[in-house]
Amino acid sequence: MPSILGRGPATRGLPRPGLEVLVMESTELLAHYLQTSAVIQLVRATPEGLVTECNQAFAAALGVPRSELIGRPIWGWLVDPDAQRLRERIFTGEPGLFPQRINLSDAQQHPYTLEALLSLDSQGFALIGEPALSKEHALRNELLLLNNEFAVLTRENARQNKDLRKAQSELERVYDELKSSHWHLKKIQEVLPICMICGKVRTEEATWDDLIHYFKQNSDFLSHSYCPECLARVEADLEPKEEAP
Amino acid sequence: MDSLPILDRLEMGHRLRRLRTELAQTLAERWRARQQDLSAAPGEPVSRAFDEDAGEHLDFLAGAVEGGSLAAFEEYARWKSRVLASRALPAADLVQDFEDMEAWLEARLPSTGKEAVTRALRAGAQAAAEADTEIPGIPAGLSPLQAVQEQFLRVILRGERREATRLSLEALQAGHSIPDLYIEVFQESQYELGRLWESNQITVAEEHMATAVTQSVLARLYPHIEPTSPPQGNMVVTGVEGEMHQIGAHMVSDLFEARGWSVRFLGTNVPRAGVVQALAEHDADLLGISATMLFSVPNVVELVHAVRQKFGNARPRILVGGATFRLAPRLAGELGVESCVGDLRQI
Ligand code: B12
Ligand SMILES: [Zn+2]
Repeated sequence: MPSILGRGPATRGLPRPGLEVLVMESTELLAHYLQTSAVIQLVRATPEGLVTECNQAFAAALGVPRSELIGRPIWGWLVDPDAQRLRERIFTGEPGLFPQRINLSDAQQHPYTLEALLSLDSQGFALIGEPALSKEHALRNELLLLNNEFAVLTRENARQNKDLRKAQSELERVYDELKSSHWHLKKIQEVLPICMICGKVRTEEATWDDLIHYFKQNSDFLSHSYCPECLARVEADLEPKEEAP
Repeated sequence: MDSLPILDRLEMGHRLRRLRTELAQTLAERWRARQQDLSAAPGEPVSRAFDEDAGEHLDFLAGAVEGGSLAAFEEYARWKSRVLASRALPAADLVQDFEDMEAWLEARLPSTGKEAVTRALRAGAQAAAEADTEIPGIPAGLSPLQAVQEQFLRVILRGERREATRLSLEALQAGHSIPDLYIEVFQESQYELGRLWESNQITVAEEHMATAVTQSVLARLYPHIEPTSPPQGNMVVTGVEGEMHQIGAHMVSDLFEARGWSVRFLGTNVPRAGVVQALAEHDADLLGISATMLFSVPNVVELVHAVRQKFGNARPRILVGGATFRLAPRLAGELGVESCVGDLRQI
């Protein structure tokens, strides 16, 4: 079953980073294996590391007949990035998967390195080849993550812009209100143009209005009260009158 | 599976996932024994992605157990056999794998819950054996936007971002609503991409490109969302860790925004701590959690737990949705959260 849509759920659809493209023109068969399958067992070995089974293609890539490999230790081929840890695990018998590199050379004697996994269990080792991941594949996945992030950022940006625009229009409304009340205030503070004869005042619209009416219309800032004379009059009105006998 | 409490199911799921490497080897051995060691014959392409297959089988088996749904594993079996069939790979291996798994797991699982695993595997084997290679699609001719949808799909498969945006804006101008456009055009096209990939008619690269175009169209439409209701409160929407499917969560964010929610969309694959922090920052009344893959069940459980632990049970309210909850319909109730698995326009 070939790998589909990237790697399986172990890596949640994303490739393990750090795997390189493997071009093996001279060892067609192993290359073919590694291109068409996600993971393939190359070698099995005893807990002591002696080969018990070996994949034909892998033997061909090593340039050794398969029969000669059986019974030989696998250590010679491994370039172990963390030998100490691996050996500790071997002695405790704890199962696990360890990334390994294997140095091989092709038919032209050019060296190349194969990425593989050494899998450890109670029965010994298995050397498992990883598929050759193309650069294109890695880029594609990177692009996917970037694209997801980009979608989030674009939306967040638009959302903040929207909030900003909402705040801005509210600001404009308050500003307009302020401006118009300021206009009235200024007008009253200025000298009110008032008719010498009938006492009407000139409005903003250049019409002439009754003084009282004008103030009723335009004087939110005036509060209501009584002058001393009127107060006296109002109080007198409110006093209980002598009932006529 | 019906009677097993959720904690036992999570424990079993965890146990199953840990067996991946061993199972891969076991499947490989049994398979090769049946093939009479074909690896001895040079030139024979005798590879199978055992590690990947074992991982996938276990992931979905674990997810079905965790989600408490036999049907979810049957669904996986049917899906996997369709994927195999469309790539000319033997679906019989699948039935055999499930049988091998049952026998091998027999000695490795505790008695609590083993019954559930066995039943799922048998149901899976049965479903795989009977699976139809025909991919279930939608009945055609139901949406007034169908013509737009077909055109949209063609355009995104060619990677034409501008044209896709133009088509969408045109549909809005013609009086179609954002929710209709989202569900009937974008969602339907995305689902169709899935069917095309499943049946091996498009490559991963084509799917990625088309999906990227849909995402960019969504971003362009955001400014056109006009809330139709009075303000409802603050909401955060996120996909869980490990989940790469983001468009569902994105659409949910916008559709709730159109309902009057102020929605902060975090994307997917967001670490728990990040979600908790965003909830505090945004003073959220509601958290939307999206999950598509069955293997996301444990991360959903953990996110809900983390949020409850930090903020208590009352606020934020939690709403879950996405294919995971369609496959495991009991889960939401068991977690004490609300769920929405129907058409979002109906809520
Ligand atoms: C695009 C895509 C991808 C892209 C996603 C890119 C991105 N940026 O989102 C990538 C390439 C990452 C991807 C990867 C994989 N995918 Co994929 N993918 C899809 C595809 C084609 C479309 C998804 C989509 O955009 N849907 C559109 C949205 C709008 O729909 P939705 O998510 O269902 O959301 C709606 C509702 O569910 C609901 N909803 C969703 N969330 C929420 C949340 C709340 C709170 C609420 C209320 C509602 C709600 O509202 C939404 C609007 O109605 C689907 C096909 C399908 N049928 O979905 C496959 C599909 C889901 N993928 C699949 C698979 C197998 C995978 C991989 C495992 C493949 C692999 N081997 O690597 C990986 C897994 C990656 C991971 N870890 O998650 C399978 C799953 C099959 C199964 N048995 O479960 C599908 C079904 C394809 C198929 N037919 O075979 N995939
Ligand atoms: Zn007076």
